[in-house]
Amino acid sequence: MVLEKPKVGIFGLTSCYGCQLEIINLEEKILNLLDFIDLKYWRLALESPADPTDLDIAIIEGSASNNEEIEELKLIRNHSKTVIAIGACANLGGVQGMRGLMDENRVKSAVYSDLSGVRAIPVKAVHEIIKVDFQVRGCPINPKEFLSTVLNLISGRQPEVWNMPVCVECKIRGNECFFERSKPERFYQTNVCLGPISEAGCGARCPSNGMPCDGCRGWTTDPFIMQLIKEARLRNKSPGDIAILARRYSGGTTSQDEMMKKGMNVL
Amino acid sequence: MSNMRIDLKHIARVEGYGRLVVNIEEKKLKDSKFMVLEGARFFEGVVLGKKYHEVPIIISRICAICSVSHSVVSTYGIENALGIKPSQQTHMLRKLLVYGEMLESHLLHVYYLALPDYVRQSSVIPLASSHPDVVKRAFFGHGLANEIQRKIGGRAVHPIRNVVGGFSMFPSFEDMKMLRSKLPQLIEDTMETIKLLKSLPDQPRIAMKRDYVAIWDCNEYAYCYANEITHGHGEPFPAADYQKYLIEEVRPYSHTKFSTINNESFMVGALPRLNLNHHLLTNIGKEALELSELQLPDYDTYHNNMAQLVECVDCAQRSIDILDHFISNGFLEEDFDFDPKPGNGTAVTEAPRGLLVHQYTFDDDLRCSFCDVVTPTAYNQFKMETDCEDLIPRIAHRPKEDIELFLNMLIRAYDPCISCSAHSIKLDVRFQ
Repeated sequence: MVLEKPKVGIFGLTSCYGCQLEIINLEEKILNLLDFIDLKYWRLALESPADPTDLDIAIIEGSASNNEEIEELKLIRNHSKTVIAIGACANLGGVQGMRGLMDENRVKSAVYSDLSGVRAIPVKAVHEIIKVDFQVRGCPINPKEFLSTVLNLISGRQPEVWNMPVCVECKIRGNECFFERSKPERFYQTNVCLGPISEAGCGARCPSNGMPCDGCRGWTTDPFIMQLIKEARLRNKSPGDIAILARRYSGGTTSQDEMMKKGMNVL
Repeated sequence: MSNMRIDLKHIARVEGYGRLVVNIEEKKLKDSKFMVLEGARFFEGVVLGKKYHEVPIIISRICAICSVSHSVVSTYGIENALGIKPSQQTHMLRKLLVYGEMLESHLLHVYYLALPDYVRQSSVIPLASSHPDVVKRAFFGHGLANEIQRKIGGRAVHPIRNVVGGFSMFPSFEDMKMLRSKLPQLIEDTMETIKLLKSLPDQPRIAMKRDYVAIWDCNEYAYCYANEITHGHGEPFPAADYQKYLIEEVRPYSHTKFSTINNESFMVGALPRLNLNHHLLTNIGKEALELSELQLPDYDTYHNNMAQLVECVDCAQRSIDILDHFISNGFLEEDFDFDPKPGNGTAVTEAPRGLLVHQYTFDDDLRCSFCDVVTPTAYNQFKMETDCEDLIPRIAHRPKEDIELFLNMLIRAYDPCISCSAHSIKLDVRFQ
């Protein structure tokens, strides 16, 4: 019996293209992956057809930030059995989504002197427009996690979900906790670590490189948000700063609005 | 068929969503428009009100493939604004990071994005069977360049360790020795690829004599940060005067902004850098230049690919030199005990695809109150259009497929980074 390879498309909406670049960074492993999938559409690397048709898996990077992209997302969904959203933009809106949490006119007029021609719409994560079946989180994605998600999926297994905060992985790595440092050290005063509220799976990438977690994977299912807000207040962060910091990547989704509001009311 | 309209709707194998429309009449160019269709992201607005240490983390997200350049030039720009002087060690580590990015980006472009055209394939995938040794070199070189960025910056895309004032962590000796031991192979491989690229038949040519621009340091081939900008047809000028010399203007017949120097389009990127700095190459870099048979100054945009390979050899040697220094001398622990003051600062650097400018102002609370970013693809955009004036008469007699291929190759030769150029104002948001 010959099994047909699943047909796969990789799509980029508004983003920095970093997640697609991390796929390229798999180097020869991409060729190995091509033994198992039929890559139909990937503009960054191949001459591709104008539109997607009849895909088993659509992999989408980026958020929607104009009406054409909303239409494109609907088209992709209609032609794909399974949709995987990769990266912070696709899953949360990404850093460009921050303008949704700021004074929109101030943001836009810093860039354009004449606002009449700006056709941009509020930034939307992919799941705000169409149904998303699986996520690969992070800004940018971890290429190994991406590969294992795709391999799990094409072999009929459920991709892994972490459901725990970055702190768990950080402890396993043996990093010194940013909150427990006895004296002010590098960057300790300037930032608050978002490990307690952020979804694990990155291997505590930033804390292991000497920087606090800034939450690029989004919030975990049961985030320690109240404790984090209290810690941030102790470090003289204003409510506005805390809100922007805790949602640096997630301005394109409404899923955290309510919990954030509750946390801010406690202040 | 004397009139022809060529519409490359969504150019493949470039980073971002770009479109080129060319109208040909009587075998001459009537008009050409390069359009950026990426969604606007308003980065210069998004960083407003942010504390200085948050800005590089956010701003590096303008672009993945140039993320090191954005991170490094933003930290320099912010340090200039706040009156912070980074150490010599920080300069060297940032250079190493930038060489890693040059290698990564150039090799990605030459092997994965451009080379398929030169051997008339649709992507790098069929090359795996037709040119297995080339693809092997691609994986090795590109992978090693990414390792430099991982070991020095903490991650291949969006570096973590480079921050305002210095580095949050230093690479280990084992990692540096590993990189050091593999780099000579990369040099050898790149020399082979230079020979290959030189030997490929039936390639397009143009010779549009327009000015070329790069950052300038009279003592070294400047890839990473300098105080001046220079150009082929004139004298160097201070980096902070970039808006005075590199003029951006709107023209009534088009939506896009045009960048000019002395009222003409100009090019930034590997070929302009090589034209301006070739006498400052390392010895092995000079060997690579000789092997490439480029005659400088070279005005043929297509030769940008070859210039990238010469730079790869040079950057690999410079990486070896810096690694040797740190392997024998180690690192000095630095305290981050600086006293930032409000102010304005500009920094310029070379992204792999050319001149990149960041300018910032910080208020009394050390929050960003002004930000200007000008990307290389924004500078190159007008030149992409004007190149067609020279190219079209040379190829108008050929079949449409050839014309399309050569136009695609022309745009790709710039190694455009459209997601970069679409970060802000240089984007035309109105055209349809």
